[in-house]
Amino acid sequence: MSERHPPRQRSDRAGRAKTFGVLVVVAQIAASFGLLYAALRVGDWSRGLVAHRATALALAPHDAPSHVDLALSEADVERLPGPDSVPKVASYQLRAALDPAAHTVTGTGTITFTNRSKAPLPDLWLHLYLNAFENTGTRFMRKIPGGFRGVQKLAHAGGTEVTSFRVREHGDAELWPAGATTPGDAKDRTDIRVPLARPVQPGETIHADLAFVSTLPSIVLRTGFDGTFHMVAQWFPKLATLEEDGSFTHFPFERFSEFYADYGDYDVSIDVPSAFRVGAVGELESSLGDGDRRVDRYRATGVHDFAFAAWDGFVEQTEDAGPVRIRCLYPRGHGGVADEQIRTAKIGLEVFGKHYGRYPYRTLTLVHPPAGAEEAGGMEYPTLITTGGPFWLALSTTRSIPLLTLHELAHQWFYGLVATNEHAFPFLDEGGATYATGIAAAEIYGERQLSAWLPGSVVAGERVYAANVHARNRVSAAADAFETGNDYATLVYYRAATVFHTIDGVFDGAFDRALGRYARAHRFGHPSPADLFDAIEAEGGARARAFAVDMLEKQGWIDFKAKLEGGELAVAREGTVAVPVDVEVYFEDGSSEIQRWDDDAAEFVAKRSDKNIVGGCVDPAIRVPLDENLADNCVNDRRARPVRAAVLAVFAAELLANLVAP
Amino acid sequence: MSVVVRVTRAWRLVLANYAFRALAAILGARAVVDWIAPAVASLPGGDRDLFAHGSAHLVESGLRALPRLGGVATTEALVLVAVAVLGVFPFAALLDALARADARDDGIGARAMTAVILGAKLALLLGLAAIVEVVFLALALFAASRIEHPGASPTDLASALGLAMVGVVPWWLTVTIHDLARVGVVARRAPVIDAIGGAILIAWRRPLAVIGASLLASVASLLLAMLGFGAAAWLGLGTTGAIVGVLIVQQLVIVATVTTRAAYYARLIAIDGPAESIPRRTAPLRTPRRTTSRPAAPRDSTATEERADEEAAI
Repeated sequence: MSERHPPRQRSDRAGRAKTFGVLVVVAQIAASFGLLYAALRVGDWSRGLVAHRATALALAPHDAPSHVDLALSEADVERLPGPDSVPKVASYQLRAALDPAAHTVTGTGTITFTNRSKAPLPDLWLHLYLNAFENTGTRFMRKIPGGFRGVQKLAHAGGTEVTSFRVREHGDAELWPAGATTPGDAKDRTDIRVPLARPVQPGETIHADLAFVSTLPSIVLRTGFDGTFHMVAQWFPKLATLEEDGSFTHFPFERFSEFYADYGDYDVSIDVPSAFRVGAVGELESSLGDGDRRVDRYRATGVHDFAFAAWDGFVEQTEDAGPVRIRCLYPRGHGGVADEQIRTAKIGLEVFGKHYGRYPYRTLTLVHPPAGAEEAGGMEYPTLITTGGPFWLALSTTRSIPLLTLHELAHQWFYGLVATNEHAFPFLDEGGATYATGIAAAEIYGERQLSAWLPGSVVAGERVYAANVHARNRVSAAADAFETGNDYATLVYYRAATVFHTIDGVFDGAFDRALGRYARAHRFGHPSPADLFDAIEAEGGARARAFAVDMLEKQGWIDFKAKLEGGELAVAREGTVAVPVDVEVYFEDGSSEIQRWDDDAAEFVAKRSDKNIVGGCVDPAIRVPLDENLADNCVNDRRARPVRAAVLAVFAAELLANLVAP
Repeated sequence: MSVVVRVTRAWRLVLANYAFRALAAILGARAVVDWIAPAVASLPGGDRDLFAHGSAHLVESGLRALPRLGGVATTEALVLVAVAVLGVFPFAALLDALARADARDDGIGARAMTAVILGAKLALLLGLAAIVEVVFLALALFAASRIEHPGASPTDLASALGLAMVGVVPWWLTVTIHDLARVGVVARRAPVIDAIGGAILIAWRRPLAVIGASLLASVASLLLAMLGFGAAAWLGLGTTGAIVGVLIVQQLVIVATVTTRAAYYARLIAIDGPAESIPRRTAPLRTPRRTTSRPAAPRDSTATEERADEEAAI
């Protein structure tokens, strides 16, 4: 019911309305800012909700895959050697001062080296892998990523300059060879031979005092800085691995190569600005402040590398998982992600411990790099892994955070405790960790391994990359033998893991047991592919070993194809190797029967019965995920209609229509 | 002075809009079903087998069907455009029925004519809004890509928020003003440009009411969509009974979604109603006629009486 007002009164009302309107708009903008800020911080604020959801999903009861054998007794687990009992070859006592403005680490210290080989050593080989980033002409930088990580341009060069290298037992002579380069590559300074004044005899221990200055690059791959965030890896002159025959396994830093080193003890004092938080390999022994600077001393026993992250933006969270203290360092706003990583690490330590022997260290540090430093994520060092991912992933239904965390955690076994040569046999650590991630995901998440909402297994996801790539290279090729990063990633990670899962499927879980046997037998060792093949044979027999060798070392492949002609079901096999497989035959009355094909013939014809055959599937349970083409494994003369797809598609289309229609 | 417009007033047209949406969805889904059919034809369990064994067949089929995806996407896009354009006609009828208590007295022919004439204006409005929305949405998405990691520094956070505001707020405003303008076009029979002007004026004067209505409708639609997918995820699609159950739940969800949208527009009509400066017409549309814009004109006593009659009817 409106009424007329005098002009002045109307004018006052209009003025008040206008003022009110302006206030409302200002409040609206402020509220919008508040909402957006809340959205950005939701990763922190929603931690309770996330924890409840993730725990409920992660720990939901499910049937463990039949091939998983967790029957290891506590005694089996506890009998395994610990880091104290490992014979140490190269131990390091270092002091490192980080200058976050110049992005340099000034280091001094002593390498204690024991010749545990059978031969005298006239020289030492040291790796200076930061020199891979000193210019664009190095061996590392010359090779393009080609589908692998590390596509960033080098905006700030890095490198290590050794200013002093003297062996106490050999007098006071400066031994560092000025101007030395990688053998056969004058543009590269990552693999350096240091001649000694006299040979180191078998059993003899020497102490090399050294001083160096390392400059961190802008992050290209795994190491470097972004703003004040510093991921300090491959930062000190590091001895190559001494083999039993007295040779050193040394190699320049390659684009697709990772690392290989001897076990030792590390005692590293890290001098950083007081505002910086440090996450490092090993245990924090002391932390002493002195005005603007602080020195954190970390000690690690029985490890083969040392890295640390330092940043003034880290938030820290710690939680205990039995005897292991888990530290997570993450950027502000990533609380939900950190919760999920810690929770996954706790479960992962338990699952991997049961399969491959308990985790023997007292700390596990998770480092989540900030924006801009993503390439420092997804990497493993002894007792320290780097993760990554945006804050909102904690609220999504995908398992990308847990799967990444599980993969890097699996490297604590397949790299950390089983220290294979990652340059010569990258499939041993990457394939092993990828496989172990799939096993753990199946145990933890049941059939919903990729997302909480839909059934999807890690193995099925890996098949996307693993199938039809056998012609590109051997799975067991050395890192520098891969032409492209895509070849490296698909073969070393996914095809290797798919071969392993196929061995499980065909040989009744043989690979799961074999990997456990191999991991326990070569704990704190440097095994080769032959050691893995031995373990496969021990658990799966000679046929399993032959299959593994064919698939991993000889570019083997396999493909089944079913066809139905004249009421006869026939299955053809192509490829380089025969494996036993099931064939399910479908009859006209709706019944079915499983028939076993276990010979070397190229074709199998299903046995007839008095009922007419209407279809069939070879490998119905997909025990051979290595099969190059699953789409031709089934035949069916009663063509099935996609009813479920239709129901879901109609609903999705209706929702889409809701978005575009009024 | 608040007006309540009930959706039940136009429940037949709500169902008609749902039917239109369902028919259009069946048409749209057809391309997807045709796309996936060859992959599941040979599987003994049909598309149930797609999700068996870790969804290995789903992944395999998807990969092998990938080359045909472009054609499906094109078909889907065309269907969506058609749905968007054609959908304005049943929507116009619904909105008219919500806005006028006496709309039910119109014959079918008159209502169809009203829907066609008003629908054409709504289509024009839709085209204008779509252009602006796409621009702002692109800006919002660009901003979103910059705020993926908020932890770098407070400065980054502030600049990311600023960027987000540049995209999200204008986009949301465009969507809301478009909705209000639709109400103006139908309820007040305003020309498109006048309706946009009126919508901006209403958004300026009653922002909280508009925000509330919009937020409520969006949240309700989101929850309903989650319920629909959740039904499929948790009931599963393993048996015929489960499929039928999921189908029923999902279609009820869509009916509820359409009703929610109708309730949202009913609320906008109510918000639009009391605005003193918006001239209204209460008579049913008989002859399309372009009226002149008088956004700030005070209403005369005749108009007030008409309005009182209308409110009483509502």
